[in-house]
Amino acid sequence: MKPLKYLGLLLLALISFPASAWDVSDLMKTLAANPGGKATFIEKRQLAVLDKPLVMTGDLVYAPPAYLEKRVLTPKPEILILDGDRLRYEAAGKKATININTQPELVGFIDSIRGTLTGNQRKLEDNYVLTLNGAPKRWTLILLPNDQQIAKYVLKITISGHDDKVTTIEYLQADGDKSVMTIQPTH
Amino acid sequence: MMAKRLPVLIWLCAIALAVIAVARANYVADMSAFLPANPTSNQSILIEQLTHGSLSRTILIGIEGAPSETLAKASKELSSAMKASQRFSMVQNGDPESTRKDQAFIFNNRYLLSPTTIEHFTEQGLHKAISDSIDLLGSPLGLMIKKIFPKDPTGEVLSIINNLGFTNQIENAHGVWVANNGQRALLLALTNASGTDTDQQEAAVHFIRAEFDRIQKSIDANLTLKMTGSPVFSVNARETIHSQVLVFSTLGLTAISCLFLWVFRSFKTFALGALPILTGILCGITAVSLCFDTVHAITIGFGSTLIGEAVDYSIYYFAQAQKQNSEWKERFWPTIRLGTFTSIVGFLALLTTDFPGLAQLSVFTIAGLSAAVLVTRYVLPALHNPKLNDYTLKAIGKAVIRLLPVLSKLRYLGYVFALLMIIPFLSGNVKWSNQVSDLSPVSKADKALDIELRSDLGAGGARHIIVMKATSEDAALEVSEQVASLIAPLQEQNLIAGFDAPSKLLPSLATQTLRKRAVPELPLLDKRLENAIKDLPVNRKTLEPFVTDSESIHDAPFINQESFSGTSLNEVIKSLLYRVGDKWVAIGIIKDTPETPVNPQSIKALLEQAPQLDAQYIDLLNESNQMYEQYVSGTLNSCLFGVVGIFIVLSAVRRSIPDAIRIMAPLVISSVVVAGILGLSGVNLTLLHAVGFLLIFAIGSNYALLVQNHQGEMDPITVASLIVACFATMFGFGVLAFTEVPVLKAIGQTVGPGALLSLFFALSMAANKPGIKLHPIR
Repeated sequence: MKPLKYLGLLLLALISFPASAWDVSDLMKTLAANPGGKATFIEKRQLAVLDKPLVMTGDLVYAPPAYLEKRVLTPKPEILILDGDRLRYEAAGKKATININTQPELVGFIDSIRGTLTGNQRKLEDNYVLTLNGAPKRWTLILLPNDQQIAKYVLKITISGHDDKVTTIEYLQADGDKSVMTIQPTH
Repeated sequence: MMAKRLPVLIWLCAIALAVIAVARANYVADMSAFLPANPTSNQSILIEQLTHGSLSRTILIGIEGAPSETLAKASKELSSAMKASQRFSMVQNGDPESTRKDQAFIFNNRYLLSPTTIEHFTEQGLHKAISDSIDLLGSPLGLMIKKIFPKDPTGEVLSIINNLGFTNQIENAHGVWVANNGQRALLLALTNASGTDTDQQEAAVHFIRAEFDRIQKSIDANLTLKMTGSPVFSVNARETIHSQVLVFSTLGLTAISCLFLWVFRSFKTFALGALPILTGILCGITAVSLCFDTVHAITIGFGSTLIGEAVDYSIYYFAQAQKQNSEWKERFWPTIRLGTFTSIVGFLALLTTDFPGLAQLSVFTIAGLSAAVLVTRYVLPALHNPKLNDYTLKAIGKAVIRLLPVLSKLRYLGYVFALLMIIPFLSGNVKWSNQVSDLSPVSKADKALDIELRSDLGAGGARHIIVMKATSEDAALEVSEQVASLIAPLQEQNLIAGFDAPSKLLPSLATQTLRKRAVPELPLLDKRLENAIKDLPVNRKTLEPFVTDSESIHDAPFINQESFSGTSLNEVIKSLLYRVGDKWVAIGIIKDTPETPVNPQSIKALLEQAPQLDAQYIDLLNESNQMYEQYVSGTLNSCLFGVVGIFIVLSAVRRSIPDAIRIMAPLVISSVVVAGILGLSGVNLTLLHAVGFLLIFAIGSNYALLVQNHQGEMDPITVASLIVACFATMFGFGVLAFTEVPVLKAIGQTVGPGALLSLFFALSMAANKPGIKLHPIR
């Protein structure tokens, strides 16, 4: 029995070896090297208070490290610009700028997306436990909050992509609401 | 013997009576000394704001020097200690509990408070409002409104928040307000004590400091406390004045005492020399307490320096009565009497100002100088044995007389210099201050910190206000509503940054009634709602809480001032809506930002469209600067009257205008030179400089009179007495020029050099005509 057990371990090691060669920090390095750019997106939100999901489409602009713009075109135009800690919001002729640090509900979301895009592993690990599945050509990063404050609002964030591109972001909120954003680079 | 003792007896009785009056007097130490006694209606509002308004009670606090968790702990402990102390009507540090209370108040009364209730409860209104809210659910705001959506699908809470302009949120970390990325915890407090009660405000400020020290020790951290706001500034100012007055008056007194002891070489003379001024101060306070209800502490402080002239009296007496008492009575007393009289005439002019501080100063100085001169004339001779060692005096006198020919020639240089000093007058360098801040003892660093904390806390000052009046609270709210709707277009066109009106927090009964009626009863509401959400992705069941809440409004009471108690809005509504006499006053604040500065003309034009409303626009900064300018020009005029009065008295007594001119010329020249130098050094002349110039005339006229009083050769003792008196004045006033208290500095830098220059010009001009025969003095 003993040799068999060792064989099993050896096999296990052989199988898992290639996977562990490519880990979170490698993905982060790849993401950090992303030069930014433009993309289109479709976002579906399922809210308990609504019978049908809300569907939004629009453009995204990312300029590392701190500038992220979300331009909703349908159903109603809306612009969201995250520049450092300032979140600028424009809709229906109204403008507002808030410091995201004043809104604990927002910080969790924003930090997850900002940390992933910039490949800031340390920042992500401050608030989340990271699990990486897949390979460079098709990867899925799961973020589970370990910060009490964030866990009040977020159950799980799943980000998937290929190479240095993020293609979907899925938020599962603590109240059961869910949002899935599919991203399509335009170049 | 009896005749000699009688004045002493009378003096002792007067002292005893004065001590009783001084002990019974009612002292106040607040800014009311510098507020007009008969204000205009705009000024009354300003004064009300300065003395009782929330601005006069707001303390802004920042805690720094530790990680944000430690800061949060300190902030929470400080806040709970302050709340427990009963010294503060409001303490806020951003703790979730008080934020929850405010939110609950707004949420529970949303249909009465919301400006959109009426339009949102029609069928179309419901449809539009709910569909707008659904759109918002997709935006970042959605995360926040999602929870309340089933109860407030029409978005009334957002309407209220927008209407109140509560959109600037303060950063929060670990349950407290922070700024600078969490490096500074913020608190905001209102003292119970009004701006006029510096003692209680001082107690409150000291309480915060003591509690902070205690908390710092208990949590074992090395923190920094930063505090600003009107109570802190007035307490600091008073502490600075106290400590500086102590230091500099000790310095001045020590210098004068040394001079006295050196010149007169006798402790007895030194002790006696203090009698006129001490009696003067006692009598001054007595006179003020008899003429006014209260005695301003500031009056005593400044008055005592003003009657420093009384020190000169003892010096003249001791120096000049060396030979024979009777000779002093004949030769010098009439001159000193005239000198005192001219000073009194000068200060009499200050009585005419509208400011209690200056009027009291005038009464204090007149009574004090009169008492001091009487003590010099009648009490000192009775107590004093004038056989003194006059070695020093004679030496000084002879030295100066030897210098006279040189001084006489130097005067040409003086004239040239004085002529040159006219240039800064012509070039506009000599200018009168037109800003209250020139008198403010608040340091630049403190001002900068205040601006920083205010922007951190979003607590801007209220500069542009609209004062609305009516006969009842509710009527005032109605006026406020009408004015708010007049002003609203300006905000929509982005011409103003916002308008805070009390009616936005507390709508009038009529408005509340209309809003309540707009929410339909159940079957109708259900019908409208059903139609409204037909094509929306939301079902009736989700909105059940909304229907329940809307129905409960019909049993809910209307809100009034009392409804706010326990929330932080309580203080806001109290500061914006209050009773003055038989009128209710509502204050609307127009927000002023660098991007959208307030244009007074457009506001005034709007208000003119509704002449039936008792609503008036006031720029408080402008108003306070105007009040101050009026104060400065009033003081300046009074001082000019005083100088003219001195001139008339001199001309009348000497029966010769040229003689009066001769006496006053050195004083005018000295004042011009002092003003010119101050102007060139970039000092804005304040009203205390004006008082200083009056003092130059009051003190300097004594020098000029005594210089002119010689017949034939100048007598070394007389000259020496002038030199000693002048140096005593220099020491007493001159040191004030080095204080950090603007009002004291102003007097010091005017009177110090002014006295020296007056004596220089008086001596050098008189020396020009040796042996001049003057008219016999009456």
